[in-house]
Amino acid sequence: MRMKVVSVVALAALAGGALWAQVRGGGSEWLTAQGDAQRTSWIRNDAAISVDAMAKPGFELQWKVKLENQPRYLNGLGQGVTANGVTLFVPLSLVTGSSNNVYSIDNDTGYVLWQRHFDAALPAATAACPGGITSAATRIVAVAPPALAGARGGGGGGGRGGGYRGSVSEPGQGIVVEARGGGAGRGGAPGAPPAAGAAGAGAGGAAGAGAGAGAVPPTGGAPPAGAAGAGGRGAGAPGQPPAAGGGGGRGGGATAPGIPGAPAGGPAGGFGRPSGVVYVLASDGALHVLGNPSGKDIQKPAPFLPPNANWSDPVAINTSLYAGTSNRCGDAANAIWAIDLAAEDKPVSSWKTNGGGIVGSVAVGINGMLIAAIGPGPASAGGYANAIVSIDPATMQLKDWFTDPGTEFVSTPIVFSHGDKDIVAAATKDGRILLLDASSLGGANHSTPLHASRSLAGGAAFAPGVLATWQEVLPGPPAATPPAAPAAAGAPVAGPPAAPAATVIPGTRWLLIPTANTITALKVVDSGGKPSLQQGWVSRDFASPATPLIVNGVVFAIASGRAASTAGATAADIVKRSSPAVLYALNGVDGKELWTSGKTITSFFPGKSFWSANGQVYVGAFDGTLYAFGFAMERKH
Amino acid sequence: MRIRTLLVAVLLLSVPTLWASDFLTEGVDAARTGWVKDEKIFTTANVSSMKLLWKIKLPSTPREMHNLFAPLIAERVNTPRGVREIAVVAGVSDDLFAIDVANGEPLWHTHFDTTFPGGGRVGDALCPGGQTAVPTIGRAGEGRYTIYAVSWDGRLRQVNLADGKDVAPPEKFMPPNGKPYALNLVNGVIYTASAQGCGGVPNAFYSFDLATRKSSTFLPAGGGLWGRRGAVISPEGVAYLGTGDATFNPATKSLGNGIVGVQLDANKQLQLVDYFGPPNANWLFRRDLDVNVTPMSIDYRGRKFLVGTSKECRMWLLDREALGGDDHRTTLHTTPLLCNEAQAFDGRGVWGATAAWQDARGTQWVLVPFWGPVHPDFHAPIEHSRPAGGGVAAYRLEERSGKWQLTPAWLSRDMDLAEEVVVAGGVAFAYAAGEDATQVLQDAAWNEPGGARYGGGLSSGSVRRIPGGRYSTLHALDAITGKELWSSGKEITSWNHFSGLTVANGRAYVGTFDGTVYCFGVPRPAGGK
Repeated sequence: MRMKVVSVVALAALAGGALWAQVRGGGSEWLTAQGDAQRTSWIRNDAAISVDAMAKPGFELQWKVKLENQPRYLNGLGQGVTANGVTLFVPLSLVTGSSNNVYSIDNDTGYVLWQRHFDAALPAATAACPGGITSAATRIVAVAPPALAGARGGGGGGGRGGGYRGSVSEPGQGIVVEARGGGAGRGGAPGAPPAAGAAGAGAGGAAGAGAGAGAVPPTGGAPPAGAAGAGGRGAGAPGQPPAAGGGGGRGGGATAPGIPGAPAGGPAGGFGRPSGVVYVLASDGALHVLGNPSGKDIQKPAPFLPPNANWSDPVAINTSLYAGTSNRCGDAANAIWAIDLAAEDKPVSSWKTNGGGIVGSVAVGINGMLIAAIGPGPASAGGYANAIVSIDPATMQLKDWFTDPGTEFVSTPIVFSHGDKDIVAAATKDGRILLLDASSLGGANHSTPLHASRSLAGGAAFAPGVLATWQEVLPGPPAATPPAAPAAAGAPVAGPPAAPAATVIPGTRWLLIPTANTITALKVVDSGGKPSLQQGWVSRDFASPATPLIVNGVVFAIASGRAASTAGATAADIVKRSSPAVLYALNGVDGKELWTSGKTITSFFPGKSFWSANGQVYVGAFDGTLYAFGFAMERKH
Repeated sequence: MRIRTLLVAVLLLSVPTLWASDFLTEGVDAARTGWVKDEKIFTTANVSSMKLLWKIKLPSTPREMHNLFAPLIAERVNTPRGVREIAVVAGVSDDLFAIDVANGEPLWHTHFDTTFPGGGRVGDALCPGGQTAVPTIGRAGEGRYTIYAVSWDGRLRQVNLADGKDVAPPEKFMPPNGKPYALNLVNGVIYTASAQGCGGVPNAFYSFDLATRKSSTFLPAGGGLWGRRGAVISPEGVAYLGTGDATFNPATKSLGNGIVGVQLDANKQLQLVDYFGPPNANWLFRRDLDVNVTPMSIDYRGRKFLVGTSKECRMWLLDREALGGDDHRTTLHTTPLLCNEAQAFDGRGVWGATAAWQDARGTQWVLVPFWGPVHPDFHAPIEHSRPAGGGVAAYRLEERSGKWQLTPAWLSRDMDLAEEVVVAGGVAFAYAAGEDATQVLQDAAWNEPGGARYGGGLSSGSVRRIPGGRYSTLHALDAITGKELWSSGKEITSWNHFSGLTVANGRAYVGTFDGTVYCFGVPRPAGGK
């Protein structure tokens, strides 16, 4: 009998639609300012950007869009945070604007999906107290850092059914579908043969091949967090924990169990999952919980900070959001503030420094403790200045601290694992990098760092928020090849068997520090059983480099073009003396220049609006123009 | 005297042939142009006098959001009651209804028996089950017509249009419970294509050769092939249709989000003969912007064109002699976006069916109905509105400096989701579906009535969308200027989903979700019925 059958290999593609769709909505994400809770500014896994890819042509401006936001002093656009899979397929960046604006921008096209403006009276802007929105938005981010992974695969078409093909029936026999494997296809009838059940083998397999392959747990005992991508399920970024993204996992409609404060219930994931929310603070101090698809206040705005405070980039973990304040703007105390996102009345608590202001952003240690740098200032009894503190996020009580009266911190602390230790790194005004043991800041006397580097600044001051860190990924031993599933007799084979999954092991840990005119890269090495810093590379000269970010071993650095502030200089003076920013891509291992944006950017970079996701790097310039650089990835026609 | 009477009778009977035309297949012809070339009654001058001639509520049970499909019209059918102009309407619940066009009276009703036990998931608008393909009609002889339909059980039905009786036993054709689209009949072969993987049925082209009774299928390894008018068949016998939901990678034999051409070989097996992948095919896939529109085969000034589009909402002008050029990804012309600036996968873009026609001067026109707002950068010399809910855009197919292109000509009034376009007598008929075309749950703020809603998730099901339906509207436009000449206003009281539009012999037909067929028309010349 010559009648051929249509293999379920093809049908895998059919039922696999759901899986594919979610993968289609995925990609690397940037859920909070500086990328993650540890403020590393590092995207571990990205499908498009790599040193090899950047060495070839194709990385270029994809789009730009002018956002009508009025700067306040030099404060313009905030750092974007991203949400993939909004309304299933749209990757968004959610960008704050200093004049109480929020923009939702399609990362593929630059299309402004929605924008919000919060009405509130704004005080006069000063350098210390610019007023308006002073930070980025945030989404919920996992405490555990994302897993390392090897190069991601591109997906491929195998999941849709093993290649085109045809068949012809014997006269009068029609086309018959052979059934084998899993559950019923869409619309499958009860009792009908399970016709399209190989979704996991087809679509899911293809999706997972890249996304989750080679994931290894981060050091420090945190669980592996690559499950979202590994199975081709979930809308979150590969390598991001399933919970990341403010409830991107489950629920629907009035219920959305993954979103704090939303009623539990709803469908358990899949296409029905809500697109999640983003958290935005307005200048009146209210916390807004905005729906990613619409920008609507999904939850009642809740009072959080004193109006017109100067707050740093918030971070949201589990069911709480944290932000630090400084400069006593709006009479807000210098403090770390917490708001309970799950409670209907959203209670607020805080830990006041009774001394200096919070420098940069609050980081979250891998152990879940809040880590913050405190700047100079008069400290009352029991108060803190020039310190690094550890705060219990549940009780908002001080747990530990490092202080040295002669050490003024000027950067957000960043946290990373090295060996069996979790390390806090921060920059000091005199140009040193201090490494602290996250489990015992400053040791028994609270003033002993694990390591203090020599001054890298050459006497020049650092700007706050300057550090970034990443770790090389080295190939590991091949993983065992999973046994192939037996095929039904006579069924066509889907394709070649899956290759063994690549594994990776952690390599050298790098710290990146922008100095006055370069990016300096330091290696974290062991010295006498303690971590220390070793000179790595120094970049070419940049004009006022800002905090770099790292994507798959590529360091993106901005020559900001922002003129130095001088005594008595007004914002207008600085703007006038500034020059257009230039974005550079450097090889993270040796600092070699891979690419530059040249003269594409026509305004200077004030210092905040710089992030990456989905194979693109975004730069928000002072004039409100947002630039997206990346590989075309067929976005443009 | 008797001879004279006979002559008069013959003359009277022959009068209708002066204005008669059939509408035997979705999209008018195998090329799916939507152009009723031989329409003799409708003109731009008389269409403004169109009115509702009749409407009939058919006992068709909706399935999900589907109910009635666009009628097919045969003008002179020999029936037991004499010669009749018959509209045959397919209902999704395995029904065929025949209606006497003259008065809207039912002639017969056939409900298919089935080998499929039924069931399936409920609430899935994408997979309604039942009969989902618009049938097609073949001429079996003078006054004799055969309806070809695919019932829910996947069998091919051959039904006498005159009386609704089988003219041949049901034939095994394709797997049951799928979602085939409008049938096409060319040279004794029935063509269709399926989508959404409904019931586990592969997304593929299907053919049935009536002579050999051989069925064939070709799987492009893409997603669904869900052009509203099914596969277009070119004069060369190649079946073309767009694909969705998969990568476009010929190296891995994956032809998702492209346009695929297949042709029967000597053994009556469909074989791949050509394919086209838009330059951004894989991005279209990532955004779920399927190539969801039946392309049109147009022969014009010695060139063989294929015109396609998709949810993305731009037009591709292709050469059928080398689809996509040497690399299969190069068009003769690609227009800028017409709509869907947001590049949303639902509720925007082109979802219905395009039309192609030539005016008396020989100008070749391409008319494109679309959903949602017109793109802010699209402009036409004549604009009757800047549509927000949808509309129709017209292009001229022109050769400039040796290159062919589609040049914008006019933009219609605003429409509530413009669907298919049919051109007859210089009139462009279009209808607004009025359905709830959203497929994701919308956010609702905490202080909106009903309270907060966390939106963004897929919600394409019927339960939510059916209550959101509005009403369909039939529009008649001057096909050269786009000016509206007539509209049904609010006369149609229900909406429709994935249905169609039929125009023949001075009458236009729309079926709606509530099971009603509306017939609008203008007075026929003396001797007409």
